[in-house]
Amino acid sequence: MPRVAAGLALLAFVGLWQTLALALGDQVLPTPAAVAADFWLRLGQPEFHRHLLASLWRGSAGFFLGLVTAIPLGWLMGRLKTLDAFLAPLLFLTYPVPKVLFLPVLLVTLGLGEAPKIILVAVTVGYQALVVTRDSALNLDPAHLEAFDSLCPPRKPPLAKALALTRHVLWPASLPAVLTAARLASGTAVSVLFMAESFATDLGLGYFIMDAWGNLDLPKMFSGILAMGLLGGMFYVMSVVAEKTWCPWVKA
Amino acid sequence: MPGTAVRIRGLGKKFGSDFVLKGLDLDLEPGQSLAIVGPSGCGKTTLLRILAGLCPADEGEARVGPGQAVALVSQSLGLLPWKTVWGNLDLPLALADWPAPARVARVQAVLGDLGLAELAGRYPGQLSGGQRQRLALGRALVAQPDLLLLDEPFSALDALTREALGFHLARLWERLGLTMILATHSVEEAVFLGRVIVVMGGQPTTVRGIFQNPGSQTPQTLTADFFLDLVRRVRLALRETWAVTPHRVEV
Repeated sequence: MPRVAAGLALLAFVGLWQTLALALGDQVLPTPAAVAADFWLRLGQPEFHRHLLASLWRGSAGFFLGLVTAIPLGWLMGRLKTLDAFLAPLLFLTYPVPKVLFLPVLLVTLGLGEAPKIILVAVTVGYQALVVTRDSALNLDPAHLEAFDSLCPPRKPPLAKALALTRHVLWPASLPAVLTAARLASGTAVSVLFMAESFATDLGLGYFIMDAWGNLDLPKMFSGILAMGLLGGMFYVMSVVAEKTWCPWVKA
Repeated sequence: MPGTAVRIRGLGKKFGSDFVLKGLDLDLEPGQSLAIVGPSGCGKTTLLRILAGLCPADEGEARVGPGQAVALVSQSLGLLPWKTVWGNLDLPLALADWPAPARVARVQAVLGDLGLAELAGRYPGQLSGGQRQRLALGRALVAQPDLLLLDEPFSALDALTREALGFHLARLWERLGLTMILATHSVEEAVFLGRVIVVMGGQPTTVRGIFQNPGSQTPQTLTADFFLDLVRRVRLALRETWAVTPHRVEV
């Protein structure tokens, strides 16, 4: 039944697109068939591959960098009161600021290379992951912490104990929330990547889309939009699969 | 303290400015089972937490024999929901850096002992109340402690499961020869599982009565005269603590 519903929804979307395309004319909105044909054609073109791979690399690297920075920092903020007292006000003051506003700053400080684009995606994903990881470390069930404390031999060295706490309690306790944050951030990350690739570069799907728009090559523009949408979808699906694989107890 | 598993002298613990426990003296020999019975909020949990090293005493001392390993089963059980039955049982061994083959053998042995072998791959969220209780007990026993502390371990269970687990625990205690302290508000449970029964009460809490239980722990015990008589005496002692415990009743 859910598959039938999904099929019907997709059919309705394509139907609506087709109706609008016919109403507006192909100078404004190409038909789904025209976009599909263009996309299929471009899948065989090395130039399209270069743009696709550039965006895939920047998106994946930014996603990964954001998570590996934010998760340990979130744990530390949740567990160390002094650090949290210092960093939490900064986090909450800057959290509502749209991260894309950092783009000019990053371009000025880091130049025009890959770094500002990757870091912008990392900051976007990282902020969301940081907030939920900190929350989950702050709100750990005291019963789980006490169980860990009572099971841990009293003579275990403090560093080994902290690492064991991270491995057996902090990491699994925050993992479902972190993966949910990653799932929610996947759409925002791709839109931020699009903005980053629209400036000062001639590589990436963002550039590909803006270039097609400038040339009024609408099927090409829509192929770029479709590719970027698929990139966001890939991050989304990866987060869902990771949650199902790594957090089987959540459904238990 | 040679020959003593637990020695408590003048123990006091404050919450805010008020003492919950004060002037508590108790001795426990190795292999003994002690049941502490008292009204809710009388400090049973606090006493066990002090013995488990989870909170400090404010006065006096509560010492566990040198080199004795302590394990606590708390009222909430504290099972880690992200670990399977196997993972929960393995955790104390992993934390104590047991070598892998010994860990596998030990977890398998405990799974068998507690009748959980079929459930090794399940998560705590997939277990019944009684199975969770057995898992918590197994996790406390897996690293072979010398002193087992049980805080209202069966309080969330129905009467039949409670009784079955009581028999199971009594058999385990006899077989393993460990020292056990059980806190409960059930007089029957205290009398069945404790060879020594301590009644606690008052404000602040202190020891109000100590009873010896000479009997065995078989299914017939629960209907034996000596058992029923001891239950009656402990209940009377417990009732006397009400007279010295201020109760505020709000309607």
